[in-house]
Amino acid sequence: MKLSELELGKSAVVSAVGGEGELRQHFLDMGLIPGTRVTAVKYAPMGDPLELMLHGYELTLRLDDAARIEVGPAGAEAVRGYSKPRQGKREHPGLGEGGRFHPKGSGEALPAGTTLSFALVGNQNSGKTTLFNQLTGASQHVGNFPGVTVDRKDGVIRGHPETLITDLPGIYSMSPYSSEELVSRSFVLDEKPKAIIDIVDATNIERNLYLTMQLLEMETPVVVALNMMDEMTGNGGSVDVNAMEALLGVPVVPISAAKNYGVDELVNHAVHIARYQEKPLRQDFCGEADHGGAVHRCIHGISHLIEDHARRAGLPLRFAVCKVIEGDALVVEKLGLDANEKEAIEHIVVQMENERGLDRSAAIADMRFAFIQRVCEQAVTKPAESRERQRSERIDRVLTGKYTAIPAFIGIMGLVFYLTFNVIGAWLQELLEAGVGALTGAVDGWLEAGGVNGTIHRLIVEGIFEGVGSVLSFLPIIVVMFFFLSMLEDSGYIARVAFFMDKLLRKIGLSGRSIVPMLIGFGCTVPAVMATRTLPSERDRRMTILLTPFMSCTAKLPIYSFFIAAFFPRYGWLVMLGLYVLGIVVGVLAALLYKATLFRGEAAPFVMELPNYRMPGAKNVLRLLWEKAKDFLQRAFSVILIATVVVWFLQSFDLRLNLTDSSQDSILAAVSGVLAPVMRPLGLGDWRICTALITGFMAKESVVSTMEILFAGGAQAAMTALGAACLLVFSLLYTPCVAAVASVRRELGGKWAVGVVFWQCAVAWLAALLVRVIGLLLGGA
Amino acid sequence: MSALDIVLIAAIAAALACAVAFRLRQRKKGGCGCGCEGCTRSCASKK
Repeated sequence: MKLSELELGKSAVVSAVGGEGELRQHFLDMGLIPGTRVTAVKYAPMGDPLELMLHGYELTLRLDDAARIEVGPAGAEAVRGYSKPRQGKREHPGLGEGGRFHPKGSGEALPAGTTLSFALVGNQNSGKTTLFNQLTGASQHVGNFPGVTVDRKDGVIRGHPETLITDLPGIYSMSPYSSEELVSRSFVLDEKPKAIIDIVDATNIERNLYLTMQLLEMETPVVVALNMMDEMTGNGGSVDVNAMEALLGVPVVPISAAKNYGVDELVNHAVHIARYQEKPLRQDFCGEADHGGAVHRCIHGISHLIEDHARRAGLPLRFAVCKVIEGDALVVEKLGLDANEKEAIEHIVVQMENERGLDRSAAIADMRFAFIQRVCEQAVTKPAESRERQRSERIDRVLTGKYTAIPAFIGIMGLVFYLTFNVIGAWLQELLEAGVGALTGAVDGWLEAGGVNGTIHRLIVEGIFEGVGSVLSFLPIIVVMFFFLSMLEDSGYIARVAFFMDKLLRKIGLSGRSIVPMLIGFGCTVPAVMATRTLPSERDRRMTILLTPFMSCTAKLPIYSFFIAAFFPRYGWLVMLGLYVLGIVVGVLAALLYKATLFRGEAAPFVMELPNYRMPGAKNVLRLLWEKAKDFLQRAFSVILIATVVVWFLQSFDLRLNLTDSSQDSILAAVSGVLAPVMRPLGLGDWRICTALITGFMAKESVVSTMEILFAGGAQAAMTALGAACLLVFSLLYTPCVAAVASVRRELGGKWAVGVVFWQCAVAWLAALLVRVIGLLLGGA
Repeated sequence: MSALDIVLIAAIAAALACAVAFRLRQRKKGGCGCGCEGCTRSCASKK
């Protein structure tokens, strides 16, 4: 039977794993190996993907991918469970502590002054960034979604100036599946940190230890941080740390990164093993008696064959052997084996496959999971179903329910937008506007009373105060919008959205995971473009990057609010919503076009872990809001201040640098006039509008500040409602700001970035023209 | 032009110089992009 045919609530045992290449390896790394018991939990509301329970965690798979996995009936013998560990006191191995392998204060320590570099490695969503923040006092954003960290980040451990710790993107194994996973693997292999801090989610210990076992092969000192121990013990589970330490041969420290529990002890162990270069005591996990020792003999045979190559290539031997058996092309190439050796290795591996009855990748994965099971049997008391899990199940009945998921999503997003634009954000905005207005009035009065030169007076009041002030008043809306997006992400809801939107997104050639960058795109395009690194397929990544500019970012809000207040005050809410929907609709059309032209083929498989719902941490959310507010204020008082003064200068002086009373004769009018003919068919031929749009390329907020300066008498006098509608549509879709284009260039290269600028302008021009034609047909002017 | 005018012009020039220096410093720190958190992180990963 195929896994896709498994009935809901029923369990089965994996008998064969199909598929090929990286996807198959990823299946195996996630624990889908022959002999594993899986339970079908639920289908997404649109019938696809499928949510499975295995190794105590939840995994989502598309039906197409599930159809590649064969399952058989679940028997008692197939259950990979484990009983209560052996009772009684076990001696503390004392790894990573002074006095065990050398007297305290002695031993062969690294020379004084050596920087102790650490890699913080672990599965996605295991709490690495939370621990990183605790260790360094940094304020990196954490979320409840697999793959929040897409870059490495460095910091110094508090109280240990000689250390340098690097937070890496989460990985499930050392076989890189996505580009962010490659970042982590390359760091460990190439930059050779002095030690690895392996963070293991204790509530999901089996799958997390899979990566640990591969890290132990790296010939680098490792300390295991058992995170979320509070959650595990709170649900009746426990870990015999001494037993686990003895079995793994590395220090094991139980911690709770969120509650800062056990972190000091972890630091002491980490610094100790790094300073004394105490490497794992154990790397050999293959049992001589396991299925006749087929895997054991294979690993050790190849180990002797490639020993010299691994040494020359600077690769850890055991790691290289496993990768050669799995057929990792990058490692095989790095080893530089000759044809004879490759042939000998192939014979050994084929023999192992025949004896073991599993293919090479499955045999290695099975060997690792078999060892993990032995460790868990001896050291772990599994908790009853956790309260967090039960709570998640109750919430999911509504939020991912067959008939309730989509309405709930629309309702939640609607509420977010309503609260942002109509209630909280709008109220705060009015308050700030009033404050800025009062300050401008007061300054105006002082300058008047002081008899300040008229030109300087105008520069300060009409240029700086009105320009910067108009942008500043949007700070509350932007902060409130980010607050809600952050709450949704931290709670674990965004991962569910990816789950139930997968089928819909597949119709336009994308995977459900692409929804995350797109939703972030409603906040800001720069992090959205970066968030695409979590996507496992290059095709999906490129396509998603090209689609994020269609999602209306918060920086465009000032433009919308400015024109809505001037032209559509009675339909503000409707126009705002319409613009967002239009952005999405044009994005969908663009995606269909991309799918048929640039990116033919199918979206990447949807293999993703669903985290439990968690209450967003107030500290984390407040930290993010402060970062966003600070970023916005910095932009307002730097880029926008410069832009307003430059625009004021260009519109106050003519080409001979004489002060001019009529903006019509200004430098700005002459420069922008070149673009005016292109924009005339859209009814936007006014040089002032062209100027505002050009300044929007630097920062979208500048459009409004420029308008404020140039349309001193009010925009209504110079434009009709139809013109305003066309301008709104054009602003929605035209080129993203220079920061976003720079991030596209970073991810895709210069040609694509230039392409995005011209393509977005062309789409915006066509859409605005369409709006104008329809408007004229309906009798607009 | 009064003394107050000169003081105001100097203040505006100083504010602009600070703004430009700030952006340049951010760009230098980040090495690319606009210097915001996103760009800085993006650059860090390419180092």
